[in-house]
Amino acid sequence: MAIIEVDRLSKDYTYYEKETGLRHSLRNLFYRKQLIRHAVRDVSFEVEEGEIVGFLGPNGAGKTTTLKLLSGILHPTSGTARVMGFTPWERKKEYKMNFSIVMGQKSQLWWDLPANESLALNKSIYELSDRAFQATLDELAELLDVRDLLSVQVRRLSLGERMKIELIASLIHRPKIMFLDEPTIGLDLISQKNIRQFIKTYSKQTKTTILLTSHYMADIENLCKRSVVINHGSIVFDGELSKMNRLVGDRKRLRLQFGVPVDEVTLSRYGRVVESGEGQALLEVEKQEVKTVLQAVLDVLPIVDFNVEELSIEDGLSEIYKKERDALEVGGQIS
Amino acid sequence: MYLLREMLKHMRIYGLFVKNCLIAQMEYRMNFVISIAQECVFTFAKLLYVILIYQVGVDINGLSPDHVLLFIGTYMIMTGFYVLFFMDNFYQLSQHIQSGLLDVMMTKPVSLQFMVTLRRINFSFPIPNFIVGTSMVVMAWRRLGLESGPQEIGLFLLLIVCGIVLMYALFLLPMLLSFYIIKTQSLIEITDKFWDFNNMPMGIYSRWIQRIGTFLLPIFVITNFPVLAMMDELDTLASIWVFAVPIVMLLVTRKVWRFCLSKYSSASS
Repeated sequence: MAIIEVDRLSKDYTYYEKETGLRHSLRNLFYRKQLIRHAVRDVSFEVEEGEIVGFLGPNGAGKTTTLKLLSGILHPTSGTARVMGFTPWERKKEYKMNFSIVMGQKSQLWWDLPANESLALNKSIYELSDRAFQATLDELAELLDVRDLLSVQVRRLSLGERMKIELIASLIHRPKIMFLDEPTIGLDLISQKNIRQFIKTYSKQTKTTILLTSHYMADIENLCKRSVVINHGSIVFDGELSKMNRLVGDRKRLRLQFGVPVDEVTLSRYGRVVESGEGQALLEVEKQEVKTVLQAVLDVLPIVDFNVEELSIEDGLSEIYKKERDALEVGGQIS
Repeated sequence: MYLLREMLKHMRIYGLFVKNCLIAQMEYRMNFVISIAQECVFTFAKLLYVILIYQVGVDINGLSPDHVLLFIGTYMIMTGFYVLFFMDNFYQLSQHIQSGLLDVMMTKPVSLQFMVTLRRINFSFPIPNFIVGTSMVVMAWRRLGLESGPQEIGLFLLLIVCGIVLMYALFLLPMLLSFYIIKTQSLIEITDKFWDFNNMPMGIYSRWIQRIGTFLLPIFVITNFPVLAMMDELDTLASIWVFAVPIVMLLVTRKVWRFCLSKYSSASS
């Protein structure tokens, strides 16, 4: 049975529009035009116990709102969700005891105190015994290699170090479900890698169910077998990341290098020009046409080198976003 | 049983809040000292009223300067309690909403109202208030020749506790508007000014203001009633009201808190 069941969940926000300038500010004092933003629209999915699911999408797509709904911070406008049998926004204590949320840009640690004190507070909040607390703390501190940092004031820690402590604070009660909202945001590459490695090892050891949002493709590719792509509040893809490109058609890219420059108009006869200039170009063509196009360009154009490439996941993603935006502009929507 | 366990848990956590705040504030020694100095100046400004009243030496509405001293002393002690337990928390409520820290607190298995409204304890500011306020009360008590048996002092302290509870409920209420209007600086200014109504005994105001300040917006109950009880000037209705109103206001605040929370829309990520 699924540990998370989400059925047609929607969340609308009301907001006000204000144009720049003092004149509009003055007008705004008396009259505000109220607008509605559909942050999450009819989202449905299920997550099995022990799964790691990645949420992908541009800023404002609705990823964080979905996590906030599932952790009970927000009430939905419509739809239902069951997590471990609980309705999150009822905010039952039993539910809160069994999940945790880490938000990359928000800290639960006391800024002026050593991390130890914040952890001790969580020990009381989650009603942990001394033994259970110490055992988990030892294990996590070892895994994250932060034993020496626990007695340092939080404000003196680097961002990467602080995120490690945030993770310990969120895992100290051994939650069954963990929501990670941009856990690697703002971190350097090495710190990102360390955090990623930790999440991977931890989830493997404990079978914790993890829902993760991130802007960094590496996070998702490394950690999640399954990804949910969300855009404009709706799910546009749910499945294995490697299969996502099929959604935008089976296409390949030809990277061409020329002896003398070739103009874009000539190139566009053979396929979609992704980029061109300085004696090279990138063409996108249907998979079954690769051979024909290649033969044609080799015959006609001054090619000195070429390469056939797969579409990267980022390329696939931006294609999906673009396709959906175009569909929305003509009044439709892909699903 | 469940309730008792939860209460004990919250008390234990409150103990940790006290400890954490103390450690955090001692971390910044200079700020600690400057805070005390700043509050000393404020306290001295309030003392000027007292000096003035003693110099003029007339009774106001039947209250001698010694009576006024007792009222102002109690007001100072209550100000000390407000600053100690509530001020930082109430001021920060709107910041928590803006920064999204409220989101993090919301996911913790403890009462959110407890976590948000009682998390910070300010140790430096109230020190002058407590020292000066208590000295004034003791001095006035002696000069007025009031009974000072354990019964009288016990009742006075009990009414102070009632005042603290009422103060919490009453002054949290306007801050809950932060859920709607987000920025609350102007609200803080207004509520602070309302608090200053207690700077003088309620006896100096007209009957109507006294009634409003007792029953509608019961700020006078907080600092005036403990003193009036010591002067044996509380009638039956007032004697019941002084114990009932903290409970009534606490329930009202709880209801409003729940309502506001259901409308909470969280900050941007």
